[in-house]
Amino acid sequence: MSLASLFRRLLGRGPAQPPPKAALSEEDRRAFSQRYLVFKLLLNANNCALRSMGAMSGALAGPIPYGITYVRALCTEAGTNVYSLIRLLNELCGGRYTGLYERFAEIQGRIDAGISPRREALDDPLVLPLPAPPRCSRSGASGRPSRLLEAAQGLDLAVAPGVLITPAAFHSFMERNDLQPEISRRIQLATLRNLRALCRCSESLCNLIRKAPLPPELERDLAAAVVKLLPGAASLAMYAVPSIGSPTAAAVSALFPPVRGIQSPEDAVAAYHAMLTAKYAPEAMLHRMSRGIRGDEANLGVWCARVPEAAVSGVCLSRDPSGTEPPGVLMSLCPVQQGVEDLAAQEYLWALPRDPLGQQAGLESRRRLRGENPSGPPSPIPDDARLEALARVSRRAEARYGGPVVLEWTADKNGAVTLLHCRPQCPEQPHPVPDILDSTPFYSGGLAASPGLAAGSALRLDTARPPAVPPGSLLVAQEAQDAYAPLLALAGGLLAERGSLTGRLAAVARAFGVPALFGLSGLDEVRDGELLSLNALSGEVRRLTGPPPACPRLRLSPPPGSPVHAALQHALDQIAPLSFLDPDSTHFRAENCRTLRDIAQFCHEKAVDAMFQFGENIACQERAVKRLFCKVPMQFWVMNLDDGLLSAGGTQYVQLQDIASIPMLALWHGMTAIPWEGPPAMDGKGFMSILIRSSANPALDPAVNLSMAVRNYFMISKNYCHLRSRFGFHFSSVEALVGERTLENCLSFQLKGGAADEDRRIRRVRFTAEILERYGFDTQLHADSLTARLEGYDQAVMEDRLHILGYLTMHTRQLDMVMADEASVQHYRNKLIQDIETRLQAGAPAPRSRAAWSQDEEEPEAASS
Amino acid sequence: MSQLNLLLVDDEQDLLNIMLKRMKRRGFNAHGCSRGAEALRWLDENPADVVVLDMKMPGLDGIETLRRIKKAHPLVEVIILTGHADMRAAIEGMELGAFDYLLKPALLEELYYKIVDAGKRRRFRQNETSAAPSGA
Repeated sequence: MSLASLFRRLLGRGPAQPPPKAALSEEDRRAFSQRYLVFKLLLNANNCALRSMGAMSGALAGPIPYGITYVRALCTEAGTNVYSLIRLLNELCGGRYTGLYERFAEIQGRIDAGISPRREALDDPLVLPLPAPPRCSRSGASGRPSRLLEAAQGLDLAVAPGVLITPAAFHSFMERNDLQPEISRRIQLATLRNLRALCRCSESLCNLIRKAPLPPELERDLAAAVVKLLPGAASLAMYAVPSIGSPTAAAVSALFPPVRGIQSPEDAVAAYHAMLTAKYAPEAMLHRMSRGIRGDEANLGVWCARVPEAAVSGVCLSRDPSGTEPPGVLMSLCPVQQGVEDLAAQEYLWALPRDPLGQQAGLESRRRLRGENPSGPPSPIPDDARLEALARVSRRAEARYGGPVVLEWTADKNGAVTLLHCRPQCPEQPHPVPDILDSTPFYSGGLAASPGLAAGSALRLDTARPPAVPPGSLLVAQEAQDAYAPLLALAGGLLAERGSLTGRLAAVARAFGVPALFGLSGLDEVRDGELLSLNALSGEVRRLTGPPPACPRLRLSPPPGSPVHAALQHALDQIAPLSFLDPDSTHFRAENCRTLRDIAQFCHEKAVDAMFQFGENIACQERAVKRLFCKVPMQFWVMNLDDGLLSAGGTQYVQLQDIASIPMLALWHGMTAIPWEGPPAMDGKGFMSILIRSSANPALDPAVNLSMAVRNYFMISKNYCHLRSRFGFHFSSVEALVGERTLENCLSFQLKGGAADEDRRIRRVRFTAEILERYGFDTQLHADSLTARLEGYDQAVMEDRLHILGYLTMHTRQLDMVMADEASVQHYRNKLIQDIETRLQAGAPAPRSRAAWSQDEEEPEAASS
Repeated sequence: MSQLNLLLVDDEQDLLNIMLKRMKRRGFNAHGCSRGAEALRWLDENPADVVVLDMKMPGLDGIETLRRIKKAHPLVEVIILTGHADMRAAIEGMELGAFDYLLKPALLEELYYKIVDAGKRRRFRQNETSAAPSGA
């Protein structure tokens, strides 16, 4: 070393630099910038693809509500970004990897096959008179009305004739108006993060359906059927008919309100439109979300029944929802002009023993549950024999429908009964009963509209204020109004002063499995926020003194095994698994990519290699690659991809003050802020394993030239830094994209290898992963290799986390050698965390960005809202 | 750097107006069209660096509009911005040379940076073309 260089080093003024040879020409600079832009676009596409894959895994596991539209959106995002990756990699590498397009097309085909909707029996007639000729309908829907006929056979009950508007009609309506793509688009645009957004979306979809005309042939067939049915009838009524075998048939029936009073073909068209619109009512959309039903598959059948002249109408639930054992049959009756599900005050209810057959005494024990109507019960009340026949038909129908049923009927002035419709009743959902019965009932004598037990904070409802419902609230209402139906999706329970047990809101509560009590007087004493419990079995409401016990609450995300969950799982299987672990393996080839993640990983690795190799080119190296000088020449080289340097520096060295790269400076700070104390003292076994590994590794031979592969390289631009470092057997890499574009900010860290035996190496990566997880990184471990990622935070958080990565890069070196036991692991864990949080002053908490289903109405500024 | 010329194509007039306002506020020289055919006519007569294109539009749809834009103006970068999450259509768009594909509702920030990157790429390509020897 010359005296002059010695002085320069001592004074910290940087190294002697030979006179500059050839500065980068404008053309070179542009070539560098252009190449870097392609590389950066590739990094962005990779980050976006990984983000979509992460969102898919998160949705599968977590509480985020989603439907098939979200699944399709994530697949599309992952797909387009991976396609971009392939295109950009080929641009960087002169088209060397075009074979990836074929792999991509194969995977895309497999994804498509799993997420496209299934179509059922769409060649049925559009309108089908029932009973249907054998084999006339292949869809399950026509079976339901036919089964009611079977159940009523031989009893003194008539069954209303009618026609089935088949699922094929619904499909034809959707196809003819090209509605499904537009519906999916509107759902996609709505970002259903809260109830208000969902209600807005629902309104827009209902308007869309209302405005779409029926196909002319459907309108013609429907009109012809109505003209045949109307003579001699009081009116016609329409009911939703789900396919037999559908696990959610009961709920679908409950969620679609019947349309009554149809007097003309025009009325019938309007009524059918109303039935179709109900598919997009908020409660129906929420129900599909909670059960994982695909909105694009749920074809709808509609039963149009002839309603005779009648004096009273009634509903019979084959299983009383109070949850009493043995369960009774619940009958309701009201004057026909009120409609069967209107005005609870005029409704009369009986609970009958479940099996009155052969027990005439049973009928005598019928109990009048309510009859406040001052004018007395509606008449005529069907005689005992007919009530018994109704109970019997409900029992027969249970066997035929495979579960509890709801029968709707009317009776004429002589008490002759006609059955209009039979639909499955939502089965009772078992609710564990927490021990909260230690206080005196606040209210008692309520009637169970939906079984179970709930506890939570009271929320008073009134029509003037569409409330935001904190999940799990106990809704308190005077009237059980249909308008409250969507709120039940979020509620823990429902209390109402007045309401029909056989009415719509009760049915919707049962569909959502939300316990409900009606007929409680004086609920105006309940205050908002008061902690209450309700027990549908005992009909009691109590005040809670402590916090409410955990009660089962509806999950809005699709349950495992449901169609939407299955579609997401299928897509994820084609997209996310990583087959490649080692880029140095001979299997790391384009033709071996089996998933989109494989392709993304392959493209990223090859692109980084291509950028490093570009720097390895000697001609460029002289100009673009310089050794880092920080008081002394360091064992680090810096390759500037674009705008990573403030000034060009000398020809050999670059000083820290010349570096403009935000992530490199943050990383370097972490690497150097706390000096490494050298290799930890190791035990005898640790030392032996090093000797054995050393003798097997030619890279440690001093005679071998240093190449890019073994040098420690920073590849930088202003917002990018990639450090590949190798200290003996320890390989680590940090890649960071950090700047003002928060959405693109991303850190990734890899650590593998080590000199000690495999157990200790694995212990070291686990230990490092735990520390990184503490600071918000997502980590993945494979044997002795660790990958960690963090994305989407602003520049300050990312710089803070880069300090940690820099520190860990230096201070986890050789730690594998001392990872002999848990005590040692614990010692180093404490030391590293203390260093990070006190000496490095890093690890500041960062807020998580995404809420699952929020009350928060503030949404980020969207380009398209 | 000179101001970036941006063309927004979307049949939803309200959305188009909002985007135009926001993009102008962010410093782009932005123009809007609500139909594919109208966009093609505009491009024949006006310079554009980047087009943000909706997929489903009455008349000429997004894919056909993209095909014609890339044929007549190969250097113009096109970003597809759509509410239709249709993977096949999306890949078809990418194969036709779309710069990127964004699903609505996209964050304004995300769209903004995509436009900036597309503009940079457009300028590099323009330079490449003008630097290439004539007849090449």
